[in-house]
Amino acid sequence: MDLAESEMLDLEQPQGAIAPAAADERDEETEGRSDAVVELKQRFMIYSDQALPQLDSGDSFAFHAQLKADTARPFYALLPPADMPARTDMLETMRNFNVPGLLKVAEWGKIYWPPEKRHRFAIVLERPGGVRIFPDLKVPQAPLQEEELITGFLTSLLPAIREFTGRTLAHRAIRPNNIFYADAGRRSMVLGECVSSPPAFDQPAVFEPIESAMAHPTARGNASSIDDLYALGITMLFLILGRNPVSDLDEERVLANKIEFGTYATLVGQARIPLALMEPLRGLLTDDPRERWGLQDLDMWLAGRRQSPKQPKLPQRASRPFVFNEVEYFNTRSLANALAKDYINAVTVVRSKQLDAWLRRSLNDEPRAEAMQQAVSSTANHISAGRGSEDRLVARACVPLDPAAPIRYRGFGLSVDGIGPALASAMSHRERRQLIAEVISSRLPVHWISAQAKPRAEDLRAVQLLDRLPTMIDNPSIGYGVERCLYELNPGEHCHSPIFDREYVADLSHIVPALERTARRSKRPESPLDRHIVAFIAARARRMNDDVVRALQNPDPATRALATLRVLASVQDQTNSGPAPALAQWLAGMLGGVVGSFHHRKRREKIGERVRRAATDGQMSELLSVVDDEAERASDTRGFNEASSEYRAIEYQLKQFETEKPRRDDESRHFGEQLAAAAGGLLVSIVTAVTIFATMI
Amino acid sequence: MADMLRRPGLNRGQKKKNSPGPLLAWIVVPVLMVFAWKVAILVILGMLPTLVALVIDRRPEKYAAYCVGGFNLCGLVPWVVKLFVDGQTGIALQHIMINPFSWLVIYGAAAIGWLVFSWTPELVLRMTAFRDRQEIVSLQKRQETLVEEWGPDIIPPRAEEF
Repeated sequence: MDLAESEMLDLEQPQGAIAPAAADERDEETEGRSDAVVELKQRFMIYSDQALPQLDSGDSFAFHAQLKADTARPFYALLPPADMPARTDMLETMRNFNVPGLLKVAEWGKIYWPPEKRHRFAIVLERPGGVRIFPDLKVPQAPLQEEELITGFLTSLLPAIREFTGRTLAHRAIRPNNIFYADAGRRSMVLGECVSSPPAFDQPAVFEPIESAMAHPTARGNASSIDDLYALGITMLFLILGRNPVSDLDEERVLANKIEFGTYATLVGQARIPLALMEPLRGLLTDDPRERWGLQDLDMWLAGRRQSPKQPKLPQRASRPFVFNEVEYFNTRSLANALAKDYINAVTVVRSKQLDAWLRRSLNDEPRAEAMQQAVSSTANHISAGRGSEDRLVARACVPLDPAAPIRYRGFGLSVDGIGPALASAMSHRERRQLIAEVISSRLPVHWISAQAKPRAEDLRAVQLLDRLPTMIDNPSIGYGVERCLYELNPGEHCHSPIFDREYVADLSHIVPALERTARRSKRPESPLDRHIVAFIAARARRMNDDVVRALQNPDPATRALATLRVLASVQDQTNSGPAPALAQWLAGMLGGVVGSFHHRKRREKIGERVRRAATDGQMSELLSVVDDEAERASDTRGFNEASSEYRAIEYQLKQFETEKPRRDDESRHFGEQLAAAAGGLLVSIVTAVTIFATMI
Repeated sequence: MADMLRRPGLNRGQKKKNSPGPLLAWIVVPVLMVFAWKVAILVILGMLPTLVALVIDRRPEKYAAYCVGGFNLCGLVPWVVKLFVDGQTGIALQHIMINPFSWLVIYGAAAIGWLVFSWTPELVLRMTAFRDRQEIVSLQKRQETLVEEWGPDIIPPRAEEF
């Protein structure tokens, strides 16, 4: 059946390939086309009508893909769900992996996906030659023989794990149902993909070390290759037994048993394991990462050098139990796990002196008791200042009890470098998003890292970033808030804006083309920018003026429109996105208020005409230069002020005419009388002179 | 007319301005009465409208008296000159006194003086009002042009307070 399936995989070539359209260039007009074939970066063709369900990975669906240059080579494309962050930061590195034992990442990027009529992210991988070695973890199958396990399994996969280790990366998806036979003959195996979802997201908790299993699947973090070796050990055990050894226990019970008795004792128990394989299993399933077998140990074992079996190192056991919820706990890790889960009842315990006394007397662990007391008192200070909550108190108290465990807040576990992916996947879950925001806002990661004896470099880097975020997340302004944290924490994450519900915008250069397509639609939002897009741009852009971002919230529509244009012009210039006439015309429509703010009618008409011309060209910087012409604006303001003064002066004169009319009338009359008197005088002089002259003649 | 002649109200205690006119009149009239009493009679009777104007025009400027007096004198001067020319005889005076034409000329001129005094201020007032209206229309037109060019924002919000 496997062989048949393998052959089927190879035979699933597209029949009569249709000439595809370039994905990135498709727009509103071409979206209506029924082409089932799309191109990825002009290298690969992806067939949306040829699903490959046997290659689906978690929530990502697989489709047939072909390399245009070599159609004989089998590939498949994975389409991760939009609300689940892919490990895009690893793709470039993984493309350069040139080792057997790993599905090769060939290409990735944005494609137009005809069935959904929207853009999506796709990853193209080399197709495995065979089927999954353990298709369903719930269905037992024939155990692998010792020889098969060493030559077929370990020897095949170790080069890939070595490659990851060498690059300080971790696969984080090693489990039996993510391993394929590399060929139809089942001689070797390859690791399945690990990039379509957050690290270890699809891993059942049993495959994760205790610390990672305590975290939410979206928040397990990248961890390190030593955790890959743990998963390798569990996978080995599944293959040796041909079944899940703890299928009768739920995940919480398995975790509790692992803490209490150790992984090896919990999973192997009374199962019959080939004697030769007990040693590597004990080594790989050691719970203390420092004691766990590394690649060197495994190589030595494969080379035939036997070592003394490792004894499980269990947590320090107290002389007397601590009773919480009527359950007795003999070590701090179990107790911390229980407190974190029942965080409401844990408050009383954390505040009581019983816990302190237990730590000091029954465990004789003074440093831990001191650290615990410090965590409680510092949180209590915050609470008294109105900045904290009881949930934070429990979260902080759990850290000294079990420093290696992830941050646990309201029963939600987060590794420090898993906060980013967890936030990305929680964006559509209001409560979970709020919870993660509170973790960031209350600086729990900083508190966690300060409790680590030897923090990992990756965790330190993550905390450095997380330390900057509380000020951002607490800022309600546009461009900040939880959206900004999302894009700061996940450099490869696509923009979650509802405006881009039919787009996939993962890079600054995607913004203008995506908005151009949005602008061409009949139904478009009021503004091309929203909180997500602004936060995305602020996190990704090389330069972003805070004043411009603030202006986006200005109550004046004209100021907002101008700020929107400034932001988009800057993005278009920075990314050389090319002309965007529809977007420019959309913005030109919004700029009516800005053009209208010029007072002089003729100037306004002239600028309106220039805006129309610039919008047709689709260059937003040109549009900006028209409406944001300082000289023109100053001249208009000056002219307006002068005209306003003149108007006032005229108004004053007119009022003067009105108020001074009686006085002026009096003056006129007076002048008239003067004139009449003068006329009388003049006339008498003339008449006298004429009469005398006439008499003398 | 009555309004025009109403005294504009001197403040109590304000002294009248001393002018040489009355003094001259007090000197000239007795001299005339003694040496040219016939001319004096003609002048006194002929200048009666001016005297009336002088009395009823209570303003200090006495524009009515000047105007009416000027015209009144215009009508009187030819007859006074004739009386002089005729040697200031009683017959000449009588001839003038009984001639209705002479009184028509003398009092007609005074009446014209009254008309001129009545109409000139009104005429000046109308001319000034016309000029003001022209000025107001011109200013309003300029305002309309400014509003058309710069928009209604140019109108001060409380312009009516000016």
